[in-house]
Amino acid sequence: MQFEESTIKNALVVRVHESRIVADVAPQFKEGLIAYVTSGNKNIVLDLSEVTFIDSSGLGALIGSLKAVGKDGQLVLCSARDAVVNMLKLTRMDKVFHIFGTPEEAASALS
Amino acid sequence: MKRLTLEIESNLSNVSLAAVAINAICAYAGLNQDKANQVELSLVEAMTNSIRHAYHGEPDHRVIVTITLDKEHLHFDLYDTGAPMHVEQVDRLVRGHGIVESENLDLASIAEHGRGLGIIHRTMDEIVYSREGSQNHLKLTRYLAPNR
Repeated sequence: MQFEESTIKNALVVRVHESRIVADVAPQFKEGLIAYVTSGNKNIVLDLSEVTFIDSSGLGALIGSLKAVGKDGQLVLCSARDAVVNMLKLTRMDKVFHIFGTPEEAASALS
Repeated sequence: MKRLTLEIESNLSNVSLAAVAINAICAYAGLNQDKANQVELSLVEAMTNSIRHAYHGEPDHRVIVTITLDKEHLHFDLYDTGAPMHVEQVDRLVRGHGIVESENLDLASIAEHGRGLGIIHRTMDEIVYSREGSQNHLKLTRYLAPNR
């Protein structure tokens, strides 16, 4: 599982270099995201532009990461493709995650 | 009627290979991209359940998916020889019992696991589970007409 980090305003933007977030990679995905939280990042934007598919295991990893951020920080999503957005809607998790169109929009909202 | 059988070993890393083939077959059958993605998602959840729960994550077992296409249906017959599904899981999968329709949006109460059966229930048109001797048989059907 590879991530690419950049900073926009005061947000850490994490781009996921993985096309499918499914059961065999979900543990590493969650572990990687939680590492950003435990190293002190409070405002995290997860760029999902390369993710073409996510299953319930991947969704669980996202939920676990959001919980790890807690009330003192924020984890939001951006650039999600239709398949990912539809999965979030199907499971009603679109009500839980904030989804922005671009990393810049997401970072601005966290500022 | 057209038929294809896919077989994977019970390793989670093999599921995506079958899944992308299934998505392409859905497109061939005339489903639009959103619906093909839904069917792919259901089959991913079903194959993952076979590996994780029926085979308890053990390698070197087989998961078989037979895909049958006729004019009005796309059928997926999944077979494994692992442990049978529990009655409560069958109720959730087939009848939707226990699926939370409107989860409390309080983050602390949102579960990280347990959505797979609900996803299959919501996205497939017909679901039949049977235990046939030492084999699990899950039959998932998606209607093709009239609004594909």
